[in-house]
Amino acid sequence: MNNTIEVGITLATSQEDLSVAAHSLANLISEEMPVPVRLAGIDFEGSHVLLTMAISVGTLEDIKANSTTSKVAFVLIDKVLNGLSRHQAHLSAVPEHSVAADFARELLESRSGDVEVALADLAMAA
Amino acid sequence: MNPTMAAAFVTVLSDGAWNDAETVNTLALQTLADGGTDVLDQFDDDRAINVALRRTRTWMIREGLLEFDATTGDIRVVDPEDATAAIAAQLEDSNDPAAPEPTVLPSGKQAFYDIEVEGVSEDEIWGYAPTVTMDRLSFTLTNPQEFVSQIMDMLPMTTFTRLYSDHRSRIWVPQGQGAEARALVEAWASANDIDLMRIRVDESVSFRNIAQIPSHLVGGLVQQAVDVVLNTSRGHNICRGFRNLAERRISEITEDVRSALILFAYDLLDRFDDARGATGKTNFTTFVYGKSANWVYDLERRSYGREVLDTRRKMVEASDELIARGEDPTQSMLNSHIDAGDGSFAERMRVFQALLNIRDAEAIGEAHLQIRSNDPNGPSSEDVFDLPTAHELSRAVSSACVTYGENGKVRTDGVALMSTYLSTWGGMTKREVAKVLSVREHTVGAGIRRVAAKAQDNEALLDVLG
Repeated sequence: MNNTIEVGITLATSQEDLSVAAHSLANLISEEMPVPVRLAGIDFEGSHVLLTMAISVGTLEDIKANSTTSKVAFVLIDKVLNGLSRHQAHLSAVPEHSVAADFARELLESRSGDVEVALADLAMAA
Repeated sequence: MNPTMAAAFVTVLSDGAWNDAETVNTLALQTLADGGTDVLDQFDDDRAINVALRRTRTWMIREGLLEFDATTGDIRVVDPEDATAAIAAQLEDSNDPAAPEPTVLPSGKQAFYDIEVEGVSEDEIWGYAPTVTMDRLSFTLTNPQEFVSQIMDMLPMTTFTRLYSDHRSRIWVPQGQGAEARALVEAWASANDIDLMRIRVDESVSFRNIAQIPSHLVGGLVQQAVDVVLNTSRGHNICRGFRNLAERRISEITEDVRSALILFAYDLLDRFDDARGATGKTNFTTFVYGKSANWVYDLERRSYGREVLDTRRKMVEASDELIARGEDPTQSMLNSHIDAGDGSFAERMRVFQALLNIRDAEAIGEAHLQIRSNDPNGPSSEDVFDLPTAHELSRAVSSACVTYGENGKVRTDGVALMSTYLSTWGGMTKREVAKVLSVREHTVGAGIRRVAAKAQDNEALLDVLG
């Protein structure tokens, strides 16, 4: 009952624009009150990188009671969908487990959280 | 007249000296003295300049370059850069020497040159798909992806269709069989409990099976025609119309406008008839130019609704009336003329922005070109409805569940969003969603219906949600 629920958002961007997308995403996340967001999946489709983020929208009780926790998360989702139109931001299922995402998270940690650089490295490696 | 004067107008407005006629005149005169001497002859005295400035203000209000600040009652420039460019274009009559010169026909219409793509003339391109006369059945469905193909399979005649960016479904049938097709489609819809909206038949209209034309030639033709139109003063008006709708600067939306106009031009391809011009011969650029005259207005009406458009129009009329009486149109004065508290305005604007943010129009255009046909001799494609709509669908759902009030207050409908999300993207049944959310199945259904209800208010949303 106390488990949080996540909503997936996927950005579809070219490898060249990946760092721009990451930068825009980081800006949007930092604009809002703290919302738990994790990198849930990275995939490649043709020349595009599909970057899936899992945004926590709170517990069931948060959602049903319309608490601030879930409200802020829903606003963030709305802002990402509207603000990152250029990168075709869209709702998506949260992947069960992603080796690529684990790799990206390791990169992030090794680079002190510099998401743009890490994602750019990942794109280069792809 | 020169842009220096335009810059002065904007400077005056931006500095908040709008209501101070003396300051306005002084600054305007200073500008004239600084180099704008060619406009001096047109103004006899301060009063004339004052009148000129008032006329400019009226025009700027009408064009959406000025807006009212409800908190202070003042008028301010929406974007000085856009305003400067718009005034400069107005003063210079927007004559770009690089833009192609249209020819004015005896009818008063404008015509442009024929286009050539990779050495193939426009006449040769159209020659791939000669014009035929057919009847056209058009209607709006909530789920065209699924039902249009069923309808075409059901109709006992040759039919053609493809995707259109306005989300209307159009099926072409042989000339003289439109009424029969309509009756069959209505009977089919009634038997299957499917809601067909705004069904109509246009008899004996031109049709081209554009799938017969090599796609790179069609693509080149469309893109060149669009670029020509965008380089005319009408192109400038189109950009300005989009700027008013999207509330973004022209420089930020130029590519989006081009993409949207390309989609619009693709929609026109199969009904273009080069033998129907004012002189018995026309070309595609002229056709697009003519059709684009009311395009932005139609989009505006679709996204804002007629009521809001009327409100805007009343505001401009009220403003003109007050200015004519020598009064400054403050917000409080305008409130007596208009209904200023339209809460749906922001939401409708968000819907429009969802439509506006169509990138990669060329790629989408390729998909639009794919004709589906039950003609055994004609081309067909199973991928015809594979248009990427995940982004637009996501935004539509989010817009329905996260709303922003005029006072900045945010309202969220988490249950509706999560019900729709889990059933659409999680692939769950209502019962499964209810179990995950620990609510009754009825609550899940009600949440999804609330999202759908938002769609009922707006045709664009309805189309997106399918």
